[in-house]
Amino acid sequence: MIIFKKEKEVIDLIEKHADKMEECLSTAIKTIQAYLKENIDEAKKLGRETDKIEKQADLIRHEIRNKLYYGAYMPLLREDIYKLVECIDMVANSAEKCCDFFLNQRPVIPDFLKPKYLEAVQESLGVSAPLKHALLCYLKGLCPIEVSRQHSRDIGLLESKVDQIEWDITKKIFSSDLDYSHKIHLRLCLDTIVEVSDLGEDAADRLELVTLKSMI
Amino acid sequence: MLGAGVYCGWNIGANDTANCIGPTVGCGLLKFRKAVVLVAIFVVLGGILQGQHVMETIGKGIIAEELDYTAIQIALICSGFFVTIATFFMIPTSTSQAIVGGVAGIGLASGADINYAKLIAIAASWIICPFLTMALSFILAHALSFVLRRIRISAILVQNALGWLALMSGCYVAYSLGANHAGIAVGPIFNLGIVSPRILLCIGSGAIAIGAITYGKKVTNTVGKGITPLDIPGAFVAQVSSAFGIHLFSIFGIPVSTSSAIVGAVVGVGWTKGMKAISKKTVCIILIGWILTPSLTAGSSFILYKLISNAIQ
Repeated sequence: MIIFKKEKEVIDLIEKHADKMEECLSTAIKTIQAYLKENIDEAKKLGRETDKIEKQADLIRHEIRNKLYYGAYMPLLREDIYKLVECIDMVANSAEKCCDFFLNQRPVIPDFLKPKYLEAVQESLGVSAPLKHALLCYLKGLCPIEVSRQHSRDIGLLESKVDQIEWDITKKIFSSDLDYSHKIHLRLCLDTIVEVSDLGEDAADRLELVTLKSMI
Repeated sequence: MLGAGVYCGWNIGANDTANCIGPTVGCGLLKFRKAVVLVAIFVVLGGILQGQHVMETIGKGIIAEELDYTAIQIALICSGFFVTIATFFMIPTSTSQAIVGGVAGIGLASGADINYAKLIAIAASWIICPFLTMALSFILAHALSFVLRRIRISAILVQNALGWLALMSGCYVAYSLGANHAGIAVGPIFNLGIVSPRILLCIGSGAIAIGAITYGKKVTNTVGKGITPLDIPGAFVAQVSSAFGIHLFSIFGIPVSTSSAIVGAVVGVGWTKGMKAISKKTVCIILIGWILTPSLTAGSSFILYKLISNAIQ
């Protein structure tokens, strides 16, 4: 179709950006898994890979910004689209930050907490798949808009689950015999992990808001 | 006489701009400044290219006799004054309602034979038209909502398309406003045969454009934001329903107010979200404005014409 060529190019770029976000988060999960298995060399390699993917996502975001600046979509929609892309980019950024925390600060995760940390990482960074699905439902019409809204709400439920895990881990950390400084460090590490799902929920909320605007 | 025509044109621009861009500005699609420039351009184009027909027929129909220039001037000034008052209070009233009221008042004062059947038909259209456009927009909004919710389609592209369509329909309404109302403002002067019609239409449409730019924001805000919050699909539905309603009345040859059409359509869109989404206070003020504008214009034209004709005699 000749009409809305620029607009469709933006949608394709957002899809690419969402792919990179998903790739970034799945690589970050692998990075932390390798770290928890004490395979530091593999974790470093995967961490660098995460960093590289996040940079690629940034470049795509800049390209989207340029396309919007040069007239794709009406001004009112441009703002919504760019804010949505920014929110999704922040999810990828937080995943990179999470990997950096592990590889830079090297938190010592006690064995009794490792399964719980792994669960938190998988759940929190697992937000990428429903987020991408909801986004593509809205942008490409892969499913009806109501389904897209349902996916956005599912992300909220996932975030609540992560919050529950966070609560359990925090309780376990502070009821253990670890040093206070160690407890605080573990808590900070947990904060960086759950931040990913928090930002994923923010992106889903933004998406739901944009979705609502397109309905009467 | 020319001053009265320009004043009337300015009033039309100040009040009726909302009919063209109210929903578009209200949903945030365009800022008022940009939207009003589009209105000015299309009003002038409409006035110059197609304003001649209305200019030649204005003032005929409601009363059987030809109006003298004093009567026309009184009708224009009184209607203009009450439209200015309505605009000041941010009420989207109709200039044509005010002019009809003014002409009827003068007809009564001069003892001319008033075509009551036509007057009642026009007044009935003022009541029926907003209800019709309200029903149309309610149905269209539900239909669009059904389609958007169930069809697998890129919602953002649909929104973009609806935005463009709303904008284009706004430009079309502005063009029609120029084509129709530039003639209303300067029609009485045309009958004098002193100034060339093209120059008169330039003056009439220019006055409407200046009215839109200088004082159009107040009523635009009432239509676009005051009645109910609008989004892009809502703005599109309001514009299309209003245009369709006006078109239906035109088929039956009944002059209708674009202001009442757009207000009805916007209320219809708000109704789809529930009655709580509609500002009842704003709607009540608008209804009072619709009753008062033609009534006060008729009353004041009647009194003023009586006073002036007595003074002349």
